[in-house]
Amino acid sequence: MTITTANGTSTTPAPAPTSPTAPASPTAPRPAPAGQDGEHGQSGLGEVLAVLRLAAQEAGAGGARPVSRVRVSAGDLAVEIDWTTPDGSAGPGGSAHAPAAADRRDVSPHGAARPSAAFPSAPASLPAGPGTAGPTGSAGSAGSAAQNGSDDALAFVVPAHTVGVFYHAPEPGADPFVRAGDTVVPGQQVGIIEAMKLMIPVEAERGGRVREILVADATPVEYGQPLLTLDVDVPHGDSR
Amino acid sequence: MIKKVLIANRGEIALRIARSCRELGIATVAAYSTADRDSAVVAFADESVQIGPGPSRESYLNMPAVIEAARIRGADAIHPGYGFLSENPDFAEICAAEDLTFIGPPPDVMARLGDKAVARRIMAEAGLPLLPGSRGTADQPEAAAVTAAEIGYPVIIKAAAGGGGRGMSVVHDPDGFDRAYRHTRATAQAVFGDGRLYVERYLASARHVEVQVLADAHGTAVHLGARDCSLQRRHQKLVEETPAPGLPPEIVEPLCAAAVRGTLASGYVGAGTFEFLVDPQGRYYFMEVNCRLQVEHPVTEMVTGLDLVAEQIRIAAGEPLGFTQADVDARGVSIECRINAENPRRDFAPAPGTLTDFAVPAGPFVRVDTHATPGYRIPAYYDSLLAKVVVWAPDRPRALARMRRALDELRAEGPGVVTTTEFLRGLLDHPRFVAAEHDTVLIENLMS
Repeated sequence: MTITTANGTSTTPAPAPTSPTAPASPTAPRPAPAGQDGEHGQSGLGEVLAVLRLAAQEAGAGGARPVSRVRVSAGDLAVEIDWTTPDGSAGPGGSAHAPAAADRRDVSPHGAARPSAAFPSAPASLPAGPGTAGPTGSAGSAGSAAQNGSDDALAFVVPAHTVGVFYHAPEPGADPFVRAGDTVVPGQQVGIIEAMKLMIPVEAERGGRVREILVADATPVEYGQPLLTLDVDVPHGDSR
Repeated sequence: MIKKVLIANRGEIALRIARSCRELGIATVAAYSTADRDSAVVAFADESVQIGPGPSRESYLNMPAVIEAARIRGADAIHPGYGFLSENPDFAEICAAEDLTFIGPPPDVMARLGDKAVARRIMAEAGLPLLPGSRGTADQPEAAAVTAAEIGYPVIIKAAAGGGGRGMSVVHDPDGFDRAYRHTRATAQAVFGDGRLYVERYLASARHVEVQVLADAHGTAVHLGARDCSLQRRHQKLVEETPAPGLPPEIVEPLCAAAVRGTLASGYVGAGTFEFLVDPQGRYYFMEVNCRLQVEHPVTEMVTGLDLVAEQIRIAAGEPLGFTQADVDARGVSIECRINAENPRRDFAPAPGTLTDFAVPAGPFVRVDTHATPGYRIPAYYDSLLAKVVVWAPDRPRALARMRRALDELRAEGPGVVTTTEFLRGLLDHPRFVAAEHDTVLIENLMS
């Protein structure tokens, strides 16, 4: 699960057990020792924090530009990293999402019902930084990003929770569940994946505005493949 | 004709299957979990589909995801490998319903043989010798205790739906029976979702000998000789070899013929393995049928020159076996050592980590089946098999020398990583192993 803002903020939320807010001291994150990098399905708070710190560190290390701000949290599980850009604005293709099939970047389901399942792959999911994430952003998403280029607008990816065929509409010829620009509320259905003749609803895990639908109607998708992006408004007090 | 195979497995076996497919001109689709995103088979296969997250039940055991992955990539067959869905008759049935060729035996045969109590009955009717035991399952602890007394102690209580060395208890005297029965039933219910048990005599000192069979859909069945898999730790095999050393032809030939008889009697189709116990007097007893490719199949390939995966695929495509029993020409000796990421000093506990240094042996007559590479991160979700080192030589002393040389060449190191290599290396020098006097309790004895 990767979130990239127009100004190059990369955020990796991951579902976690309910936990109190945790101290964040990520200014000089240390790499976690090998073998404790989140492949183990552990979910203790200490491990959660260790993974988050590692994720922050990996993401920071991979960027071409210096990291200006890192936030590690555990209550709502988020790693946020800001990179400064030369002109202080969004880099090209600020919204950068490639299908999992293309780059095999992990896009574990955010807020999935099974935290232990989705969580462990989070650290591997971070892009190396905006410098490597740009080219796949389409013109449309760049435009959308420009309009919403404030610090508080995050592009939230809704991934496929199962292998199957993704449909935009409840039935052929019907209106799509959502279009780019629509506002959605948390839990609102935004598509359908057909798997083994079952119609599995795809729901927006967070509210926001649909930035882009990334997968064409009636297209096969893999587990974890990004389906659409939402611009999610985050109140100031929440992200600092 | 099969054109595209989806490989519903991971690790070394997924890569091994993909290689045979490539040689046959069949396209491959690797189905993989997020934990195996960077695995060797994903890089090797023609196509791939991410089917779910790391935990097996949500990826490699997730039937809808596997079937759907085959469908969206246009595969016409599924190879299940070993473990995971390979012996699941429901999965085989769903494949058939979805017009996908399941590369394995027919679902009904798998269901019958998968129930160990039913398998015992079928094989008894086919004239295979069985250890004295309960007829069918022993569903009441009191009745089971009576059966145990009739059989004579020690006895072993086994789950009818069991496999992989789990769901078994050895009981040495009547006092311990009731407790062991209830414990085993609870385990079987928890692990296999089926608490039915059966009881049979336990052989304290026996060799585990198994026969590889191949059967086509046209009523032809052959055996490819016997493998000795006696060297086990907690019913998990560590070293396998073929032919079974020190077993004279007057024992091995009837044993192999019995396996073929059982194959035909059960309507088996595909590659399968008949497991037997051989007691110190040379009497053999049918144990169970494994309805899949075995981990240790390479040793049979090394001596027969047959590619068992290719044979499985041809059989699944409906082709007749292209040879008869007389054409099977097993030569020399082949040994396999399983290199597991486990710590023998900590009771073989899994010891995964990242392989900072990994180099496999090579040279004459050495085969290594592995998915590992330098830098490979061993996921903790799956079994600990890292590599299979297999050697061939004209005779057993030279095969042992070759295996010692091969293990000395192997390097598999990294922070936190411990492998069975050193332990196996020591075993190869053990006088009882060298003298082929090993049995299923040798390793337990060595460890205690």
